[in-house]
Amino acid sequence: MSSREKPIEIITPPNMLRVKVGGRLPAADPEAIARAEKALDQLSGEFGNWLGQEVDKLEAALKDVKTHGLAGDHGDALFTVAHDLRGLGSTYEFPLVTRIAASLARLIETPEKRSTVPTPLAEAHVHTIRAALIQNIRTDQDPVGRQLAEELETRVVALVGEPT
Amino acid sequence: MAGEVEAANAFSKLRILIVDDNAAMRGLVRTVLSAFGCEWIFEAATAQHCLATLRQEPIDLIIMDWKMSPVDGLTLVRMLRSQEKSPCPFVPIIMLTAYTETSKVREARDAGVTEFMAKPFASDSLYLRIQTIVNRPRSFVRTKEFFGPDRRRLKPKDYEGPERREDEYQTA
Repeated sequence: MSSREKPIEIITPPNMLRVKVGGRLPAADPEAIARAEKALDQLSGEFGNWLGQEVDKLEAALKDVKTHGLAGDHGDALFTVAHDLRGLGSTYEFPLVTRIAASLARLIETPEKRSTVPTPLAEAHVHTIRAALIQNIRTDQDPVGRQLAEELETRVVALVGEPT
Repeated sequence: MAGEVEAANAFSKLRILIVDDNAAMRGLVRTVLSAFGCEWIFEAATAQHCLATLRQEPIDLIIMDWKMSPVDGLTLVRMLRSQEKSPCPFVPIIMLTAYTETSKVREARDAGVTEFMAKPFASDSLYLRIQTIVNRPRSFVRTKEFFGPDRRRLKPKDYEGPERREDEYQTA
């Protein structure tokens, strides 16, 4: 440990949260988890529409990028939507969308990357995500979906390296 | 087990703030928290709204996204851990983000997040993070360079090396 971290003060505040809730939470509560899963399941009829809206945002962001380029605010906007899709795809029952959006997000994560990567590769990601929705290809168990995801990921790694 | 409370009863007393610029994600997190029994759920789409809410409501726990604009989640965490400016420097923060790289986890921890959770999230993982925060809250550490939850989760019993964080002292 470097000397810059000295001296050190350890502060242990009283556990007011446990006092507030009246005790310890159970290590697991299958009933609470089941209620949550049921609540999400009741929303699942809307997942297709909601995912479609997110992909609409992605395509709109791509359109701006094709007009103005990846550098600058438009590239950052495309990254933001891709990053959101990475987090939402699996919840919306399309893990393949999460996987491809993750690859796109890695490709265009930083201004440095966005200044060098080719826009057509970003565009290929967006088109593949839309195709997955249209064809209802939800997971990489589908051979075409897997092959497309692997091809895109390989090209991204070749350009920006492995995740750290 | 003695001292345990029913989860729904416990959650009904917690005031939780969700900070995410994506309305869909806020809705999903709200759905899960409601199912757990939470009745006091607040939402903010920006850092500014988050700070305004914290000045108005006694929030017990924050669930926060990283990638937001104009102020991102990591900057917001640093602001909240700033003892001079923050309305609640000790508030527990769960960083719920689509970033999953080890370097990002380390960066979030060094900014002062309490727990890190990757999207897409599972309801049992969220329950576990909140359970840990209530049952086993981390101590806080203050150095010249850092203020936030103790970044040492594990304390291996068989470690025989020197105490590297010298001049350590406790305050209540």
